[in-house]
Amino acid sequence: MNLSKGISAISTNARVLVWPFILLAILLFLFIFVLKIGIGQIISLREELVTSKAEEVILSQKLNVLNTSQESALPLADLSLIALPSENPALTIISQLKTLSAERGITISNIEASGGAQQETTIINTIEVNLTLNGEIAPTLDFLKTLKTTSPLVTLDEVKVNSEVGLARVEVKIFGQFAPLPTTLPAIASPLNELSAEDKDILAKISTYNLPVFTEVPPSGPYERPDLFNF
Amino acid sequence: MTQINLLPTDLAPRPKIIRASLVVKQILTVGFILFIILAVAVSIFYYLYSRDLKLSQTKVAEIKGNIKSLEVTEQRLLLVKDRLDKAKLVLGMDSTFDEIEAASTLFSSLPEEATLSSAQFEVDKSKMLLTSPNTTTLNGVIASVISSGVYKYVDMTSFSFTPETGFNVEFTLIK
Repeated sequence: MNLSKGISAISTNARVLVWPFILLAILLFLFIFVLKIGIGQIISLREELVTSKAEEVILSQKLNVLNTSQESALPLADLSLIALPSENPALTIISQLKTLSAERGITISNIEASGGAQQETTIINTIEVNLTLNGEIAPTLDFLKTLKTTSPLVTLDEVKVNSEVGLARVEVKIFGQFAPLPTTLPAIASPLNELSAEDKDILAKISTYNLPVFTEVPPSGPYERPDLFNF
Repeated sequence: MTQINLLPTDLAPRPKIIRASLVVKQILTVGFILFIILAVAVSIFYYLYSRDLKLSQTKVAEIKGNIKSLEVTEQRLLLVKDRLDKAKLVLGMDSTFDEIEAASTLFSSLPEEATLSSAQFEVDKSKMLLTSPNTTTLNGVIASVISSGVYKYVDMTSFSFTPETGFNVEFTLIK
């Protein structure tokens, strides 16, 4: 009798507590679910938003740079490419040497270009131009000075002068440089800065250099073929 | 009004249990309110961030399209930067231009009768053989070399005289 009374009392007490505890467990589960999934999602969205905003800033800046330099890019590209060509500049350098020497009344008795094999590992490739000049010493020195401000860029190496009766025979070793062009564009989202002050200084300097004269050969034809059977 | 409990006392839950149940119910009420607030807040943040992200992504796509249409300009600008970076290296290379300029300055200040018989210009030094027909010109040559202010070190490496040419003085000059 006492045992059945005890069991009944336990079940009455349990009945009072079961539902609140079940609901408490559900509430805890929901809290965990919302905290883990919901807040996790928000954090992930926020990170994506920050990344996207940063990309937006970089791209806007890049677009701005591109818009402002749209007109000047072509002449600058041409100028810089003449100063430092992508391919062996031996012919251009020889042409420049001949033009500049002729302007000063100096004759070139010998001119040789060697080297120039493009190497993939080196940033800048070099060609060697050896020349022998004949003329008066002052114009010859002036000619050599002028090479410093000539496009394509050259560096002057050894110079040997032998002078007799006012006429100098000068042996000159010059190095011409060229470098391959970049082959790939960087990723679209990568930043693009404007030209730095140093870059602009160099461009301003290069723009004053003696440029080679290129002649443009007009295209030939196609012409209309004459009708051979119509006399 | 007096409340009368008609249930037998052994069937009613114990007062401690009832109190505990009430506490749990209160916790549940507060918990559910907090949960609803949290869920609403999470939903609002989720909506706002999603909207902002979508807007930002649309803008990024639009800018990318504009950049794509300016690809030629980008190529040229990159080419200019690439050339300038390399041109800096070339302009910084060792060269004899400074030696030639110094020699040209010196040459312009030499006496008229003095002649440059031979010279060798290297990256860091110059050698010059100057010929003077008489001692007056020789004095002028030496004075010019010393007073030109172009060279830091002037070394007279040889001195000779021949009746045909006169005085031959060889200098090694370092800037």
